Parts: sequence; structure tokens; C-alpha cells
Amino acid sequence: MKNMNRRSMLKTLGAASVASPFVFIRSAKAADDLVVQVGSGDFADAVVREYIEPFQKASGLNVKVAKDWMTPAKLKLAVENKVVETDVSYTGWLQAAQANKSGYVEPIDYSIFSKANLDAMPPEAKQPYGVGGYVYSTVIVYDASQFSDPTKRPKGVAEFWDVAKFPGRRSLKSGVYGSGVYEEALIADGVAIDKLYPLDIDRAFKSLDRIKPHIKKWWNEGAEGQQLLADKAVDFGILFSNRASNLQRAKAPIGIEWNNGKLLVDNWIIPKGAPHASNAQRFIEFTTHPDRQAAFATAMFMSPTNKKAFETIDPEFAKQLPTSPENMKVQFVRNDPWYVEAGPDGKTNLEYLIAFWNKWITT
Amino acid sequence: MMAVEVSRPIRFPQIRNRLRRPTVNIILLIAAPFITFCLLFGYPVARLFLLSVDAPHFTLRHYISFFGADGYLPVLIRTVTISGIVTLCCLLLGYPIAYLLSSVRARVRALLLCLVFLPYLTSFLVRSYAWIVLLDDRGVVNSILRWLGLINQPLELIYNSTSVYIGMVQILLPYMILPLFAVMSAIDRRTVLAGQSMGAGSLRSFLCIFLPSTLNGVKSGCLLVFLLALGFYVTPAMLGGLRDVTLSMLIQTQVNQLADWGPASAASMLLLGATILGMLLVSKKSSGAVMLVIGGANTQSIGERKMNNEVDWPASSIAEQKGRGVAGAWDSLPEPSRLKSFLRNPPLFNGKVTAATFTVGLAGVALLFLLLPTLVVVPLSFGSADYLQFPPTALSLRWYQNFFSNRSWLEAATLSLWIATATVIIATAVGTLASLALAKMVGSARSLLYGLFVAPLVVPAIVIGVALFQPFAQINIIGSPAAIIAGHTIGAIPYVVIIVSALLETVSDNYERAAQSMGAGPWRVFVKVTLPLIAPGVVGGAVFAFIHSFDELVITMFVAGINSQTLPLKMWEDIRNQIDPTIAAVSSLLMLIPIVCLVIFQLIHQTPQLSHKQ
Repeated sequence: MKNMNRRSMLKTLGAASVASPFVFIRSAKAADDLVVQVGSGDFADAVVREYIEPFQKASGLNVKVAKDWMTPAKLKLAVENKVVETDVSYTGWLQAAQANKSGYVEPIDYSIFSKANLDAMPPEAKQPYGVGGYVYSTVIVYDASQFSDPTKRPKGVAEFWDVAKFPGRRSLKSGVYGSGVYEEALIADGVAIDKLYPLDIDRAFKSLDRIKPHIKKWWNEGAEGQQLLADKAVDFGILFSNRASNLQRAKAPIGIEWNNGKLLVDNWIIPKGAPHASNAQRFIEFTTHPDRQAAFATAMFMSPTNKKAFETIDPEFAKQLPTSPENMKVQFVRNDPWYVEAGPDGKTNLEYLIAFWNKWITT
Repeated sequence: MMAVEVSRPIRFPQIRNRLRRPTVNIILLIAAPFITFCLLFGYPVARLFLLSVDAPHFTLRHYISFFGADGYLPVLIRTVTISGIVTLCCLLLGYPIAYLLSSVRARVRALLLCLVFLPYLTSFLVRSYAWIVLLDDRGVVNSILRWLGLINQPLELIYNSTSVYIGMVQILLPYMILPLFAVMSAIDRRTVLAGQSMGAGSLRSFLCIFLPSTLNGVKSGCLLVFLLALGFYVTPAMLGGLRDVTLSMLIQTQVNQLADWGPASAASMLLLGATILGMLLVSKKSSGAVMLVIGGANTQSIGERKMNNEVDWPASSIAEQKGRGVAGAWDSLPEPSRLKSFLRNPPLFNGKVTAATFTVGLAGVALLFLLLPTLVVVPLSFGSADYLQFPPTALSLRWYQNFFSNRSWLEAATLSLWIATATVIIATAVGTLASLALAKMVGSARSLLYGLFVAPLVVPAIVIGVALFQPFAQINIIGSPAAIIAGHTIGAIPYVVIIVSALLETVSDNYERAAQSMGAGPWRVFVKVTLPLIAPGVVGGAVFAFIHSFDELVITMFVAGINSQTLPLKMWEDIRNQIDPTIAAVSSLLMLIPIVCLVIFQLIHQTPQLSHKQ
């Protein structure tokens, strides 16, 4: 009996000794002046190349790159437990507004921005809690090799919804994460663009009922939608514009219809309690410089928020960007703050939409 | 009779009798695993409970809205349905494979085991994509059927429940095969022979003798697969249609997008409660004091138990098995070589060609199904296009070059390997100790404790990740390997417990008592008798613990911080941006690991069986 006791103790001790070297390794706290969260893949590479490296040269600060994605959950956990590791992150406008409501972000110090740059940016990109970094849209994308006849391609959301006149397999963005294609559904139902908000949720779902049987796949992640078109699994889809541009760049026969495109703005934010908040403000100011935005836009096929950047972008190339003058005329901007407005019972519109969606998919 | 070792003065017979009972041993055995478990898992679960009732306000609103407005309940029903069907399919496909595995020679068995585990270190993301390639309208399956002229229009095989079932079954099949195989390899085939010598045909001897002996494995395998299936969300999200939403996806959204812990915690508590309640109910329904349904019922009849106890091979030769205990079991039988080679052929196939063909055929089909995505992933990794393309129009090695030249990939792979090794050591030790203790317990206490150790499979990983963050942040280990190892160990222990418990139930107590009656102390009994007998289970549990840790994504996302990146994290984060064929290259490289193990095994087993001393 005593042997058993000692042996099991020894076993646990042995396990503990194996683990002990690790316990005492803390995460390296190097002498960094700034930590920027850049996501991953090509996007991260572009951020490093076009923003971080020039910023390091210009400011002399030591910048650490964190290849990680920010989610509302991680932000909340980090801020509430006071273990904020990153100083600058980017996130959707919706998530930024959400984070602001909960008090998880630092206010942006616009006093260090140049007036010229600020004036060249649209009001949506100048929120107190975040600065618009780049713009992309959700647009109708079609397989041009299948639909070489232009009359067979839907030229807007209403025609996308018209399965009789425009037969083909379709894909739409799933609403499981909250935002979806509700605006498109309402436009297809006849709502005027300037009367979209506040969204009539019931009407949007009724409109979705009409298109539901014809959707082959509701995509969840941007890369899924991209792969669907690349594999020719669907004929039309509403995808992120930069995904479609990626496919075009890889020589896939993809066409983009900008009409009824929905513009989305991603924001740079500073988590509350960031260790180097003042350097973070400087970095964000740096990202609004027109030459930097032009370089980033060219690399990622996403529009700059500073209109002056268009002065250095080749006009032919600019036609492919979501906020080029011709494309801007036919698109609308999604009203992200509406999503985080709360009703009288404290539930935000986003939560309503998610609950409705979960019910709707089982019917 | 020899007395059991007792080192205390005995005053009263009642005390002496109590000490003879294994209660004290149980407590000592269970102490280390229980404490470890409470620290790692119990504390986060307690926090989850507090979050679910909105502490310090203590309301039940999250529980009420679970059944009402939030739309969770239909999704829960759908999730349970999917899990049930997947479990059934895994059983039907996995049983023949396990039977084949346990019946063939060591070399062939090693090869088959390697085939079964070949796809298992590949990312489930890549495997899901491989199914898309196979099942799509213009995919491989439809193209073949069209070419054969069997169909004119493509079959709707993808983005609906069919593809979800197929994808999930393929991923979960080994979790059914291994417990079954571990139990089957411990069954004495001579019982079947005996039945046949009494005149039973092959079908009857299978149904009446072999099948009941494997029920331990069936129940453990089904439990494991069902619980795992409940927690799936990536495969249904990628392969499924609109209706194929699982509870984990909803919880994911609640946690990740809305940062709302309340509803997710309530849902997790309900899942946990339902599982434990289910276990208690099932164990109460069975009659008899030693009826422990989950983890292994003693469903053998008296006659079979007697036959098992009369097996006469000495314990020491079992302990001399080399290589993986699983494969060595047959080879250490100290019998004349002719009888041994006869016994190597499954008794059921003794002259019965149809039975043999049927079983081998079924197992072969199931194995092919298991390997199908692998056959897609490898060509994908050699494609030269910027995105995944099947079949690849041009070949190139760029993705392999990308992996080896890219420091971050190599660092991620190395980190994953170290963490997995540490996790395996801790989880196997803790899990085995816990199983030993559980085997000596009875009744509701056992079911409750068993449920506790199995609970990490039930509670969604994302919720565990959230619950672990705060305590880890407080002791400042977020981002350190310790935090990641702790997170992985929680999830790895249940595998070890389930598989080792299943095997322990098959092993009769009499071996231990026999050794004790010879004068062996508890430690010697454990090392020389129990451990070799449960070795297949311990090794199997260790293998699953390794795979779990190597593949673990969600908890790691929360506790790894910005400095540590494991391989699954890197693959997932790359996929979010673009589906980079490098992950196909990584997956193909990972498949080399089982092949390497196979080669090592073959080298170990170069020496012929005759060298075993009798």
C-alpha cells in the first residue's frame, strides 16, 4: 500500500518535472516599442511590407509583428483580464463599434493627423474609436467562361434573385456570424437604397425564403467563397471583392458586377490598456498617408480610405478597386453602427439577426 | 491463505476486512488524477457554471432562453441526430476493420494499422476539402459515375447532410476502430473454436461467442464517437448545407462574435448535465452489483469467464513482448509453432470461404473509404496553381519548398511536436491511474467519476478556452507552452480513460489476485501483470492523446497568445486568408509519420518468433 502511494506520487512528480521547464518560460517581453496584429497570409505580408517596415524606418521605433487575428472574444478576454499584448489591431467596422460599446478600445487621437488627409477621408472612416484602413465590398461574381453572353449575367441584386431569367447555381454569405445578405435581400425585394436602414428584418427573411432553395452553398469564410468559384461549383455568388480579384489575378475567368455592391470598411483600433498606446496612435496616423494607402491598395485589391491615394494609382488599375469613381456610383456603404444598436430589451440588432437566422435555417 | 499486505496493527476484524477491500487503494490511485483534473478542468467548469447563472446575480435566464427564443433547441436535436447516425455508421464500418486487424499476422497488422492511422495527422480542414473535391458535381465520384454511364445528371452529394455524414464518419472511424481492436485482441479465440467444436456454424459462433465478448469495445467506441461527433463544427460548416448546423457552431458564434459568455456557458452546462445524467441512468438500468455498462459491461456468461480464467500462459512471457504490445500479443504465445500458425488464421475462417470473403471484403471497402481523401490530398500538394486545384494541371514542388524554407512553418511543427509529447506523457499517466481506480469502484460513484473524466469531450472546446483564460492570465502563463500543454491535456485524458477502462473490464481480476497470492506486491502486480494486459489500451490511448494534441485548435487559439503558434493554428490562420496549398503539403508530410513508425516496427520485428523463450 505504501508502495502504491509513493509510486503514484513519484509518477506525478515525474510528470511535473517534465513540465517544469515550460512553466517558467514566460512569453518573451522584448524591448518592443509597438506590437501590431497583422492577421496572416498575403494580407499580413502586405501590411508588413507597406505599413510596418516604412513606419519603422520613418519613426525609428521597434515594431513587433503578431501574426494573429483579432476576434471580439479575444479582445474582451485580453482587456478584462489586463493581458493586452497587442497595441494595434484591425477589425471590421461592426466589431469596432461593438468593442467601443463595451469600452474595450482607446479613443483615437485625431489631433496628430494632418488636416489634408482627414479631409480626404469619408466620415465613415473617421470614427472616434477607430480609423478606416481599407475598403472592400461584397459584389456579384460570376463565372465568365460559363456566361460569355452578357445578357445572361445578373446585373444587380434584383436579377440575382430572379432565378427564372438567370438560371444558375448560386452562393451567398451565411448569416451564422451575424452579418449576412440582408441588405441585398431587401434591395431585391424593391426597397430603395436610401431607405434601407433600419432594416426590416421580417421582410428581409421573406425575401431570402424566395432564393433559399436555389443556393447551393452558404459560405462562412471568405476563402470558402473564393474556392467555390475557383472550383466552378457555383455559377454566381456574392463574394468579397478582393476574393474575386484574387481569382482574376490567378487568371481564373471571373467577372465582377459592381452594381448593388455593399461597401465594408475595416478599422484600425487600439485595445484599451495597450502597453504602447501613444506609439499606436502614431502608427495609425501613418497608415492614412496617401502613398502608403496606394501601395497597400495595389497589393491587396482593396480600396484606400484616403481619396488622395488615387492620385498615385494607375487609373486603369483603379477601375478594379471598389471605391473608384465609377464603382462608387452604384454601390452603398453598409451601416455598421446600426448593427450594434440595442433595442429596449438590451439585445442588439446583431443578436436579433443571429437568433432569427438560427430559427430560419431549421424551417 | 496468504494475507494481503497490511502494515497497520489490526484490532478489530471489521477493520481488517475493510482494509482487505480495495477502498484505500482506490483513494490513493485516484488522488493524483483527481487533483490534476480538478485543477485543470474542474476549476474552469466551476467558472462556466457561475457565468451561466450570471453570478453574482444568479438568474436562470440563459437556461430559459436556451429552450425558447434563442433557437438552440432545434439545433441541439439536429446535432444529436447527426451524432447518432455517424456513430451507427462508424460502428458498421469499423467493426469489420477491427476484426480484420485483430485477426491477421503481426506484420500485416502493422501495415493495416499504419493505413488506418495514415490520414490522422492530416488537418481535418484539408480532409474536408478533399471530400469536396470527391463529392462535388464535377468531382471525382460524379465523373466516374457519369463515365460509367450510370447517371446523366450529377448526384447531389455535396453541401447537404450526406457529405456531412461521410466527412464525419471518415474522421471518426479510427476512434471506433481502436477501442474495438483493443478489446478484440484480448479475446481468446479458442473460445470460438470451442464453440465450433460443439457444432456451431461460423455465423452462430460469431453471434453467440465473439460478439458478446466485444460489447465492451462496442460501447466504449460508440461513446467516444458520439461524444466527439457532438462537438464537431468545422466539418459540418465546410461540407454541410443550411440545415446542417451543429450546436458547437452556435456556441462558436456566441462566443467569438458576440463575446457573450452567458448563453454559451448555459448550453455547455446543459450538455454536461445531460451526458452525466445519461450515464447514471444507463448504469442504473443494468442489474447486478458489478454491471458497469459504460466503459465495459461484464456481459460475458459464466461459462466464458471460466474459459478465460483457464488461460494458462505465464504472466512473464506477456511482459516480454517487444514493440507495440498490440502487435506482439500473438507472437508471445508459448505454443508449438504449428498450432500457433493455425491460430493466427481467424478461427471463423476455418475453411469457410464465404465468411472470409465477406468479412475481408467489407473491411476492404471500409479501409478504402478511410483512405479516399488521402488519395486526393497528395496530388493536391503537388499542384502548381496558386490555389487548391484537383486534378492539378501542372506539377511542382513549390509548396514543399515553401514549407521547408519558411521558418514559421518549421517552428510551428516543432512546437506542436514538443507539446504533443508532453501532453501524451501526462495524459497517459493520469488517465491510466484514473482508469485503474475506476475499475475498482462500483455503482453510482463510479459512473459519476467516469462522467467527470470523460466530460472534457462533452463541453465545447471554445467554452473551455474562454474559461481557462482568466485563471491562466492571473498566473501569467498565457502564451507559454505550459498553458498550451495544460489545455491539451484536459482534452487528451478522456481518450486514455475510455480506452483503458474498456480494456480493464475485459481483464479479469483473477490475474491480479493470482499474482498477489504468489506474493507479489501491488507495484509488481501492476507492472508485471496488469500493465502488459492493458498495454494495447494504454498505447491506443497514448496514440489518441497525441493526435488530439497535434490537432487541437480551439483551446490553443485562446491560451497561446501571440508568441506561440502551433501547427493547427498556423494552418487555420492561413486558411482564413487563402486556402494555401502548403497545408496540403504539410498534411502529406505528416502522413509520413505512421509510415516511419511502420518501418521501425518492421525493423524491430526482424527476429523470428522462435527466439521467444517459453
